[in-house]
Amino acid sequence: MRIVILKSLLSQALQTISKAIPTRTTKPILYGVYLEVFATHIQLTAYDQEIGIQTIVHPTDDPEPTLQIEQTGSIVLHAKYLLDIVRKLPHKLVRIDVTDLTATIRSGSATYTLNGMDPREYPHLPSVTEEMSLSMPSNVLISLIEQTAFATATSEIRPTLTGVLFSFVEPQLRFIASDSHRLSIHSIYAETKYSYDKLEAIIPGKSLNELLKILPDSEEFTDIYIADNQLLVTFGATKFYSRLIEGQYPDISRIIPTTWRTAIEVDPKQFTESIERAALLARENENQVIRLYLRRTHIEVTSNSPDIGKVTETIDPISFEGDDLQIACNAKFLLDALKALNNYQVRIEFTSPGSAFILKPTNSDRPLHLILPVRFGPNT
Amino acid sequence: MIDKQAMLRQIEQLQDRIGEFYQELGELKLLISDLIEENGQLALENVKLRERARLYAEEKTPIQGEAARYLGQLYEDGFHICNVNYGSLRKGECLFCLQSLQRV
Ligand SMILES: [Zn+2]
Repeated sequence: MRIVILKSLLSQALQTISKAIPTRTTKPILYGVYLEVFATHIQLTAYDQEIGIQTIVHPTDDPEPTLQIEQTGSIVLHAKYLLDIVRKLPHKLVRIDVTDLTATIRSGSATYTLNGMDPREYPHLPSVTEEMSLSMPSNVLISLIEQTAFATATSEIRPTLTGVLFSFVEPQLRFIASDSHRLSIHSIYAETKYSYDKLEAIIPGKSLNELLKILPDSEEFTDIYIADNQLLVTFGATKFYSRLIEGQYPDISRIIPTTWRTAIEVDPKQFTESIERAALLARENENQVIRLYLRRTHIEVTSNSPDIGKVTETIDPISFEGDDLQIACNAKFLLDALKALNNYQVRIEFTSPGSAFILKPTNSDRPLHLILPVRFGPNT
Repeated sequence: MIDKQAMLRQIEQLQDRIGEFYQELGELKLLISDLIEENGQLALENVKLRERARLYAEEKTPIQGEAARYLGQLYEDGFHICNVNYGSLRKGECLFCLQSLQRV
Protein backbone atom coordinates (compact mmCIF):
# COMPACT_ATOMS: atom_id res chain seq x y z
CA MET A 1 0.00 0.00 0.00
CA ARG A 2 1.05 3.57 -0.69
CA ILE A 3 -0.66 6.80 0.35
CA VAL A 4 0.08 10.47 0.85
CA ILE A 5 -2.16 12.15 3.42
CA LEU A 6 -2.49 15.47 5.19
CA LYS A 7 -0.86 15.14 8.61
CA SER A 8 -3.75 16.81 10.45
CA LEU A 9 -6.28 14.50 8.78
CA LEU A 10 -4.37 11.36 9.74
CA SER A 11 -3.69 12.50 13.29
CA GLN A 12 -7.37 13.36 13.79
CA ALA A 13 -8.45 9.89 12.59
CA LEU A 14 -5.83 8.23 14.81
CA GLN A 15 -6.95 10.36 17.75
CA THR A 16 -10.53 9.15 17.25
CA ILE A 17 -9.76 5.44 17.08
CA SER A 18 -7.18 5.62 19.89
CA LYS A 19 -10.07 5.62 22.44
CA ALA A 20 -10.43 1.90 21.69
CA ILE A 21 -6.74 1.09 22.11
CA PRO A 22 -6.23 -0.68 25.45
CA THR A 23 -3.62 0.60 27.90
CA ARG A 24 -2.84 -2.94 28.94
CA THR A 25 -3.65 -6.22 27.20
CA THR A 26 -2.38 -9.76 26.86
CA LYS A 27 -2.95 -9.64 23.07
CA PRO A 28 -0.34 -7.34 21.55
CA ILE A 29 -2.25 -7.09 18.25
CA LEU A 30 -4.87 -5.02 20.10
CA TYR A 31 -2.30 -2.21 20.57
CA GLY A 32 -2.48 -1.83 16.83
CA VAL A 33 -4.62 0.21 14.48
CA TYR A 34 -5.83 -1.74 11.48
CA LEU A 35 -5.12 0.48 8.52
CA GLU A 36 -6.83 -0.44 5.24
CA VAL A 37 -6.35 1.40 1.97
CA PHE A 38 -9.10 0.99 -0.64
CA ALA A 39 -9.29 2.54 -4.10
CA THR A 40 -11.62 5.33 -2.91
CA HIS A 41 -10.84 5.79 0.80
CA ILE A 42 -8.81 4.63 3.77
CA GLN A 43 -10.28 2.97 6.86
CA LEU A 44 -8.85 2.85 10.41
CA THR A 45 -10.08 0.34 12.99
CA ALA A 46 -9.31 -0.18 16.68
CA TYR A 47 -11.04 -2.80 18.81
CA ASP A 48 -10.13 -3.74 22.38
CA GLN A 49 -12.97 -6.30 22.35
CA GLU A 50 -15.06 -4.12 24.62
CA ILE A 51 -15.15 -0.93 22.55
CA GLY A 52 -14.54 -0.77 18.81
CA ILE A 53 -14.06 2.35 16.69
CA GLN A 54 -13.85 2.54 12.92
CA THR A 55 -13.39 5.69 10.93
CA ILE A 56 -13.11 6.40 7.19
CA VAL A 57 -11.16 9.15 5.45
CA HIS A 58 -12.14 10.13 1.90
CA PRO A 59 -10.11 12.34 -0.42
CA THR A 60 -11.73 15.79 -0.59
CA ASP A 61 -12.08 18.26 -3.44
CA ASP A 62 -9.90 20.89 -1.77
CA PRO A 63 -7.48 22.64 -4.12
CA GLU A 64 -4.70 21.20 -2.01
CA PRO A 65 -4.62 17.39 -1.95
CA THR A 66 -5.74 15.89 1.39
CA LEU A 67 -5.43 12.20 0.52
CA GLN A 68 -3.81 10.55 -2.45
CA ILE A 69 -4.18 6.80 -2.84
CA GLU A 70 -1.40 5.27 -4.95
CA GLN A 71 -1.76 1.61 -4.08
CA THR A 72 -4.28 -0.35 -1.99
CA GLY A 73 -3.34 -2.69 0.84
CA SER A 74 -3.47 -3.09 4.62
CA ILE A 75 -1.33 -3.33 7.76
CA VAL A 76 -1.65 -3.22 11.55
CA LEU A 77 0.59 -0.59 13.18
CA HIS A 78 1.16 0.21 16.85
CA ALA A 79 -1.44 2.94 17.32
CA LYS A 80 0.08 4.99 20.15
CA TYR A 81 3.52 5.15 18.48
CA LEU A 82 1.98 6.01 15.13
CA LEU A 83 -0.11 8.78 16.69
CA ASP A 84 2.89 10.25 18.57
CA ILE A 85 5.02 10.10 15.42
CA VAL A 86 2.42 11.64 13.11
CA ARG A 87 1.78 14.50 15.55
CA LYS A 88 5.45 15.44 15.58
CA LEU A 89 6.21 15.10 11.87
CA PRO A 90 7.81 18.22 10.40
CA HIS A 91 5.86 18.57 7.15
CA LYS A 92 2.14 19.08 6.39
CA LEU A 93 2.02 15.92 4.27
CA VAL A 94 2.84 12.34 5.29
CA ARG A 95 3.76 9.53 2.92
CA ILE A 96 3.22 5.93 4.08
CA ASP A 97 4.67 3.04 2.08
CA VAL A 98 4.08 -0.54 3.19
CA THR A 99 6.06 -3.48 1.91
CA ASP A 100 5.18 -6.83 3.45
CA LEU A 101 4.80 -5.97 7.14
CA THR A 102 7.05 -2.93 7.27
CA ALA A 103 5.81 0.63 7.01
CA THR A 104 8.00 3.55 5.96
CA ILE A 105 6.69 6.93 7.07
CA ARG A 106 8.19 10.01 5.46
CA SER A 107 7.47 13.66 6.09
CA GLY A 108 9.87 16.44 5.14
CA SER A 109 13.29 15.41 6.40
CA ALA A 110 12.11 12.63 8.75
CA THR A 111 11.89 8.94 7.90
CA TYR A 112 10.54 6.27 10.25
CA THR A 113 10.49 2.55 9.59
CA LEU A 114 7.86 0.77 11.68
CA ASN A 115 7.39 -2.98 12.08
CA GLY A 116 3.78 -3.83 11.44
CA MET A 117 1.59 -6.74 12.49
CA ASP A 118 -0.39 -9.14 10.31
CA PRO A 119 -3.90 -7.81 9.49
CA ARG A 120 -5.20 -11.38 9.28
CA GLU A 121 -4.70 -11.66 13.04
CA TYR A 122 -6.74 -8.56 13.83
CA PRO A 123 -10.10 -9.35 15.53
CA HIS A 124 -13.28 -8.70 13.55
CA LEU A 125 -15.62 -5.99 14.74
CA PRO A 126 -18.96 -7.35 15.95
CA SER A 127 -21.70 -7.48 13.35
CA VAL A 128 -24.71 -5.36 14.23
CA THR A 129 -27.88 -5.76 12.22
CA GLU A 130 -28.78 -2.21 11.37
CA GLU A 131 -32.51 -2.48 11.92
CA MET A 132 -33.32 -1.25 15.40
CA SER A 133 -32.25 2.34 15.28
CA LEU A 134 -32.88 5.75 16.81
CA SER A 135 -31.67 9.07 15.42
CA MET A 136 -30.86 12.25 17.26
CA PRO A 137 -28.54 15.23 17.02
CA SER A 138 -25.09 14.48 18.38
CA ASN A 139 -25.30 17.22 21.02
CA VAL A 140 -28.54 15.70 22.34
CA LEU A 141 -26.84 12.33 22.78
CA ILE A 142 -23.99 14.18 24.52
CA SER A 143 -26.40 15.70 27.04
CA LEU A 144 -28.04 12.31 27.72
CA ILE A 145 -24.63 10.86 28.52
CA GLU A 146 -23.35 13.88 30.48
CA GLN A 147 -26.44 13.90 32.70
CA THR A 148 -26.23 10.22 33.63
CA ALA A 149 -22.94 8.35 33.03
CA PHE A 150 -21.23 9.91 36.10
CA ALA A 151 -23.79 8.29 38.42
CA THR A 152 -22.97 4.70 37.44
CA ALA A 153 -21.35 2.37 39.98
CA THR A 154 -17.62 1.77 39.63
CA SER A 155 -17.57 -1.51 41.52
CA GLU A 156 -17.95 -4.51 39.24
CA ILE A 157 -19.77 -6.51 41.94
CA ARG A 158 -23.15 -5.47 40.53
CA PRO A 159 -22.46 -5.33 36.79
CA THR A 160 -25.86 -3.89 35.85
CA LEU A 161 -25.22 -0.77 37.94
CA THR A 162 -21.93 -0.07 36.11
CA GLY A 163 -24.05 0.66 33.05
CA VAL A 164 -26.56 3.26 31.93
CA LEU A 165 -30.04 1.94 31.20
CA PHE A 166 -31.08 2.93 27.68
CA SER A 167 -34.86 2.67 27.68
CA PHE A 168 -36.98 3.63 24.72
CA VAL A 169 -40.75 3.55 25.05
CA GLU A 170 -42.14 5.38 22.10
CA PRO A 171 -41.71 8.31 21.78
CA GLN A 172 -39.52 8.83 24.84
CA LEU A 173 -35.92 7.76 25.27
CA ARG A 174 -34.65 7.68 28.86
CA PHE A 175 -31.11 7.27 30.15
CA ILE A 176 -30.98 6.08 33.77
CA ALA A 177 -27.92 5.52 35.98
CA SER A 178 -27.54 4.68 39.66
CA ASP A 179 -24.86 3.43 42.04
CA SER A 180 -27.63 2.71 44.59
CA HIS A 181 -26.83 5.86 46.61
CA ARG A 182 -27.86 8.29 43.88
CA LEU A 183 -29.77 8.14 40.63
CA SER A 184 -29.75 10.30 37.53
CA ILE A 185 -32.33 10.37 34.74
CA HIS A 186 -32.50 12.31 31.53
CA SER A 187 -34.98 11.87 28.71
CA ILE A 188 -35.74 13.16 25.24
CA TYR A 189 -38.22 12.56 22.48
CA ALA A 190 -36.39 10.59 19.82
CA GLU A 191 -37.06 9.98 16.14
CA THR A 192 -37.13 6.41 14.95
CA LYS A 193 -37.00 4.91 11.50
CA TYR A 194 -39.36 2.14 12.52
CA SER A 195 -41.81 1.72 15.33
CA TYR A 196 -40.79 -0.24 18.41
CA ASP A 197 -42.86 -1.09 21.42
CA LYS A 198 -39.92 -1.08 23.71
CA LEU A 199 -36.18 -1.07 23.31
CA GLU A 200 -33.93 -1.60 26.32
CA ALA A 201 -30.22 -2.09 26.82
CA ILE A 202 -27.61 -1.54 29.53
CA ILE A 203 -24.62 0.31 28.10
CA PRO A 204 -21.33 0.24 30.07
CA GLY A 205 -20.71 3.66 31.64
CA LYS A 206 -17.04 3.43 30.59
CA SER A 207 -18.01 3.03 26.94
CA LEU A 208 -20.27 6.07 27.09
CA ASN A 209 -17.48 8.14 28.64
CA GLU A 210 -15.20 7.21 25.73
CA LEU A 211 -17.98 7.94 23.22
CA LEU A 212 -18.39 11.34 24.86
CA LYS A 213 -14.77 12.19 23.96
CA ILE A 214 -15.31 11.70 20.22
CA LEU A 215 -18.91 12.80 19.62
CA PRO A 216 -19.03 16.13 17.77
CA ASP A 217 -20.74 18.87 19.80
CA SER A 218 -23.05 19.75 16.90
CA GLU A 219 -26.53 19.30 15.45
CA GLU A 220 -25.18 16.62 13.12
CA PHE A 221 -27.35 13.50 13.38
CA THR A 222 -26.15 10.28 14.99
CA ASP A 223 -27.81 6.90 14.57
CA ILE A 224 -27.94 4.46 17.47
CA TYR A 225 -28.40 0.77 16.79
CA ILE A 226 -29.10 -1.80 19.50
CA ALA A 227 -28.53 -5.47 18.67
CA ASP A 228 -28.55 -8.52 20.95
CA ASN A 229 -25.42 -7.71 22.87
CA GLN A 230 -23.93 -4.81 20.92
CA LEU A 231 -24.41 -1.10 20.61
CA LEU A 232 -23.45 0.74 17.44
CA VAL A 233 -23.42 4.53 17.20
CA THR A 234 -22.63 6.11 13.84
CA PHE A 235 -21.80 9.76 13.23
CA GLY A 236 -20.09 11.31 10.22
CA ALA A 237 -17.59 8.77 8.92
CA THR A 238 -17.17 7.09 12.30
CA LYS A 239 -18.69 3.96 13.82
CA PHE A 240 -18.53 3.33 17.57
CA TYR A 241 -19.20 -0.18 18.91
CA SER A 242 -19.64 -1.27 22.52
CA ARG A 243 -20.64 -4.49 24.17
CA LEU A 244 -23.81 -4.33 26.25
CA ILE A 245 -24.20 -5.50 29.85
CA GLU A 246 -26.37 -8.56 30.30
CA GLY A 247 -28.99 -8.75 32.99
CA GLN A 248 -32.05 -6.98 34.24
CA TYR A 249 -31.82 -3.36 35.35
CA PRO A 250 -33.47 -2.87 38.76
CA ASP A 251 -36.96 -1.42 38.96
CA ILE A 252 -36.87 2.29 39.77
CA SER A 253 -40.55 3.07 39.32
CA ARG A 254 -41.12 4.03 42.97
CA ILE A 255 -37.77 5.64 43.76
CA ILE A 256 -38.55 9.18 42.65
CA PRO A 257 -40.47 11.05 45.35
CA THR A 258 -43.58 12.89 44.22
CA THR A 259 -43.93 15.24 47.16
CA TRP A 260 -41.59 17.61 49.00
CA ARG A 261 -41.55 19.61 52.22
CA THR A 262 -38.67 22.00 51.64
CA ALA A 263 -37.65 23.44 48.30
CA ILE A 264 -34.88 25.88 47.44
CA GLU A 265 -33.65 27.47 44.24
CA VAL A 266 -29.96 28.12 43.86
CA ASP A 267 -27.44 29.35 41.34
CA PRO A 268 -25.45 26.19 40.61
CA LYS A 269 -22.12 28.01 40.27
CA GLN A 270 -22.42 29.87 43.58
CA PHE A 271 -23.75 26.79 45.38
CA THR A 272 -20.97 24.64 43.88
CA GLU A 273 -18.29 26.99 45.20
CA SER A 274 -19.76 26.90 48.72
CA ILE A 275 -19.96 23.11 48.71
CA GLU A 276 -16.39 22.88 47.38
CA ARG A 277 -15.11 25.07 50.23
CA ALA A 278 -16.95 22.95 52.81
CA ALA A 279 -15.76 19.76 51.14
CA LEU A 280 -12.12 20.76 51.71
CA LEU A 281 -12.51 19.60 55.31
CA ALA A 282 -14.80 16.71 54.42
CA ARG A 283 -12.16 14.90 52.39
CA GLU A 284 -10.96 13.19 55.54
CA ASN A 285 -14.23 11.60 56.54
CA GLU A 286 -15.05 8.54 54.52
CA ASN A 287 -18.21 9.70 52.80
CA GLN A 288 -17.10 13.33 52.35
CA VAL A 289 -20.05 14.33 54.49
CA ILE A 290 -21.23 17.92 54.65
CA ARG A 291 -24.28 19.25 56.43
CA LEU A 292 -26.89 21.63 55.13
CA TYR A 293 -29.03 23.71 57.49
CA LEU A 294 -31.91 25.02 55.43
CA ARG A 295 -33.62 27.97 57.05
CA ARG A 296 -36.01 30.55 55.70
CA THR A 297 -33.47 33.29 56.37
CA HIS A 298 -30.38 31.59 54.96
CA ILE A 299 -28.70 28.28 54.20
CA GLU A 300 -25.72 27.15 56.23
CA VAL A 301 -23.20 24.69 54.79
CA THR A 302 -20.91 23.10 57.36
CA SER A 303 -18.36 20.35 57.58
CA ASN A 304 -16.51 18.95 60.52
CA SER A 305 -13.39 16.82 60.52
CA PRO A 306 -12.54 16.02 64.16
CA ASP A 307 -8.75 15.93 63.58
CA ILE A 308 -8.54 18.99 61.37
CA GLY A 309 -11.23 21.50 62.10
CA LYS A 310 -14.55 22.78 60.87
CA VAL A 311 -16.00 25.17 58.35
CA THR A 312 -19.24 27.14 58.17
CA GLU A 313 -20.52 29.11 55.24
CA THR A 314 -23.85 30.85 54.73
CA ILE A 315 -25.59 31.42 51.43
CA ASP A 316 -28.81 33.13 50.40
CA PRO A 317 -30.94 30.94 48.16
CA ILE A 318 -32.80 32.52 45.25
CA SER A 319 -35.98 31.20 46.83
CA PHE A 320 -37.10 29.13 49.80
CA GLU A 321 -40.38 27.28 50.28
CA GLY A 322 -41.62 25.04 53.09
CA ASP A 323 -40.14 24.01 56.43
CA ASP A 324 -36.68 24.39 57.92
CA LEU A 325 -34.61 21.26 57.47
CA GLN A 326 -31.24 19.80 58.43
CA ILE A 327 -29.61 17.27 56.18
CA ALA A 328 -26.22 15.57 55.75
CA CYS A 329 -24.96 14.29 52.43
CA ASN A 330 -21.96 13.25 50.39
CA ALA A 331 -20.34 16.39 48.97
CA LYS A 332 -19.14 14.65 45.80
CA PHE A 333 -22.65 13.48 44.89
CA LEU A 334 -23.95 17.00 45.32
CA LEU A 335 -21.09 18.49 43.28
CA ASP A 336 -21.54 15.94 40.46
CA ALA A 337 -25.24 16.76 40.17
CA LEU A 338 -24.62 20.52 40.30
CA LYS A 339 -21.94 20.21 37.63
CA ALA A 340 -24.38 18.36 35.36
CA LEU A 341 -26.96 21.12 35.95
CA ASN A 342 -24.37 23.84 35.41
CA ASN A 343 -26.42 25.57 32.69
CA TYR A 344 -29.70 25.73 34.59
CA GLN A 345 -31.11 27.56 37.55
CA VAL A 346 -31.42 24.66 39.98
CA ARG A 347 -34.34 23.67 42.19
CA ILE A 348 -33.69 21.25 45.07
CA GLU A 349 -36.63 19.48 46.72
CA PHE A 350 -36.27 17.78 50.11
CA THR A 351 -38.73 15.60 52.02
CA SER A 352 -36.96 14.63 55.24
CA PRO A 353 -33.42 14.14 56.62
CA GLY A 354 -33.60 10.43 55.75
CA SER A 355 -35.28 10.67 52.34
CA ALA A 356 -33.77 11.13 48.93
CA PHE A 357 -33.76 14.69 47.60
CA ILE A 358 -34.04 15.88 44.01
CA LEU A 359 -32.03 18.37 41.97
CA LYS A 360 -33.49 19.56 38.67
CA PRO A 361 -33.87 22.63 36.50
CA THR A 362 -36.32 25.12 38.02
CA ASN A 363 -38.88 24.82 35.24
CA SER A 364 -38.51 21.21 34.21
CA ASP A 365 -38.29 17.63 35.43
CA ARG A 366 -35.57 16.76 32.89
CA PRO A 367 -32.78 16.11 33.70
CA LEU A 368 -33.33 14.91 37.25
CA HIS A 369 -30.79 13.90 39.89
CA LEU A 370 -31.67 12.07 43.08
CA ILE A 371 -29.35 11.80 46.11
CA LEU A 372 -29.79 9.83 49.33
CA PRO A 373 -28.66 11.77 52.40
CA VAL A 374 -26.24 10.33 54.92
CA ARG A 375 -27.68 9.55 58.32
CA PHE A 376 -26.47 11.79 61.09
CA GLY A 377 -23.73 10.05 63.06
CA PRO A 378 -21.17 11.12 65.66
CA ASN A 379 -18.75 12.25 62.92
CA THR A 380 -21.14 14.07 60.73
CA MET B 1 15.40 -57.20 85.26
CA ILE B 2 11.99 -55.88 84.25
CA ASP B 3 9.34 -55.60 86.95
CA LYS B 4 6.55 -57.63 85.31
CA GLN B 5 4.01 -56.66 87.99
CA ALA B 6 4.70 -52.97 87.43
CA MET B 7 4.31 -53.47 83.68
CA LEU B 8 0.94 -55.18 84.17
CA ARG B 9 -0.25 -52.32 86.37
CA GLN B 10 0.87 -49.85 83.73
CA ILE B 11 -1.06 -51.71 81.03
CA GLU B 12 -4.16 -51.84 83.25
CA GLN B 13 -3.93 -48.10 83.84
CA LEU B 14 -3.52 -47.51 80.14
CA GLN B 15 -6.57 -49.68 79.48
CA ASP B 16 -8.62 -47.57 81.91
CA ARG B 17 -7.48 -44.36 80.26
CA ILE B 18 -8.32 -45.73 76.82
CA GLY B 19 -11.76 -46.58 78.14
CA GLU B 20 -12.23 -43.02 79.37
CA PHE B 21 -10.99 -41.75 76.03
CA TYR B 22 -13.53 -43.87 74.23
CA GLN B 23 -16.33 -42.56 76.36
CA GLU B 24 -15.25 -38.97 75.82
CA LEU B 25 -14.91 -39.62 72.11
CA GLY B 26 -18.42 -41.05 72.03
CA GLU B 27 -19.81 -37.97 73.84
CA LEU B 28 -18.00 -35.62 71.48
CA LYS B 29 -19.34 -37.53 68.51
CA LEU B 30 -22.88 -37.07 69.78
CA LEU B 31 -22.28 -33.38 70.36
CA ILE B 32 -20.88 -32.93 66.87
CA SER B 33 -23.77 -34.74 65.24
CA ASP B 34 -26.16 -32.50 67.20
CA LEU B 35 -24.26 -29.43 65.98
CA ILE B 36 -24.25 -30.66 62.39
CA GLU B 37 -27.98 -31.19 62.54
CA GLU B 38 -28.59 -27.77 64.05
CA ASN B 39 -26.33 -26.16 61.46
CA GLY B 40 -28.22 -27.88 58.67
CA GLN B 41 -31.52 -26.62 60.05
CA LEU B 42 -30.17 -23.08 60.39
CA ALA B 43 -28.77 -23.13 56.85
CA LEU B 44 -32.12 -24.32 55.54
CA GLU B 45 -33.94 -21.68 57.55
CA ASN B 46 -31.53 -19.05 56.23
CA VAL B 47 -32.11 -20.11 52.62
CA LYS B 48 -35.87 -20.01 53.15
CA LEU B 49 -35.75 -16.60 54.84
CA ARG B 50 -33.53 -15.19 52.11
CA GLU B 51 -35.82 -16.55 49.44
CA ARG B 52 -38.84 -15.07 51.20
CA ALA B 53 -37.11 -11.73 51.61
CA ARG B 54 -36.06 -11.79 47.96
CA LEU B 55 -39.69 -12.34 46.94
CA TYR B 56 -40.75 -9.45 49.14
CA ALA B 57 -38.01 -7.30 47.67
CA GLU B 58 -39.16 -8.08 44.16
CA GLU B 59 -42.77 -7.41 44.90
CA LYS B 60 -43.93 -4.08 43.61
CA THR B 61 -46.80 -3.77 46.04
CA PRO B 62 -45.89 -2.30 49.42
CA ILE B 63 -44.68 -4.81 51.97
CA GLN B 64 -46.77 -4.86 55.10
CA GLY B 65 -46.96 -6.22 58.60
CA GLU B 66 -44.52 -8.81 59.87
CA ALA B 67 -42.58 -9.01 56.60
CA ALA B 68 -42.00 -5.27 56.54
CA ARG B 69 -40.79 -5.32 60.13
CA TYR B 70 -38.47 -8.24 59.41
CA LEU B 71 -36.98 -6.62 56.29
CA GLY B 72 -36.75 -3.27 58.04
CA GLN B 73 -34.79 -4.89 60.85
CA LEU B 74 -32.52 -6.70 58.39
CA TYR B 75 -31.82 -3.35 56.70
CA GLU B 76 -31.12 -1.65 60.03
CA ASP B 77 -28.74 -4.51 60.87
CA GLY B 78 -26.68 -3.45 57.86
CA PHE B 79 -27.83 -5.79 55.09
CA HIS B 80 -29.25 -5.08 51.67
CA ILE B 81 -32.80 -6.32 51.26
CA CYS B 82 -33.14 -5.11 47.67
CA ASN B 83 -32.92 -7.61 44.83
CA VAL B 84 -29.98 -5.71 43.33
CA ASN B 85 -27.63 -6.35 46.23
CA TYR B 86 -29.71 -8.84 48.21
CA GLY B 87 -28.11 -10.28 51.33
CA SER B 88 -24.79 -8.46 51.01
CA LEU B 89 -23.46 -6.04 53.61
CA ARG B 90 -24.64 -2.50 53.11
CA LYS B 91 -22.25 0.46 52.89
CA GLY B 92 -24.33 3.52 53.50
CA GLU B 93 -27.97 3.89 52.56
CA CYS B 94 -29.42 2.12 49.51
CA LEU B 95 -32.08 3.59 47.20
CA PHE B 96 -33.32 0.18 46.08
CA CYS B 97 -33.66 -1.11 49.65
CA LEU B 98 -35.53 2.02 50.71
CA GLN B 99 -37.77 1.68 47.68
CA SER B 100 -38.70 -1.82 48.83
CA LEU B 101 -39.29 -0.50 52.33
CA GLN B 102 -41.33 2.44 51.01
CA ARG B 103 -38.98 4.88 52.67
CA VAL B 104 -37.22 6.63 49.79
ZN1 LIG C 1 -29.97 -2.36 48.71
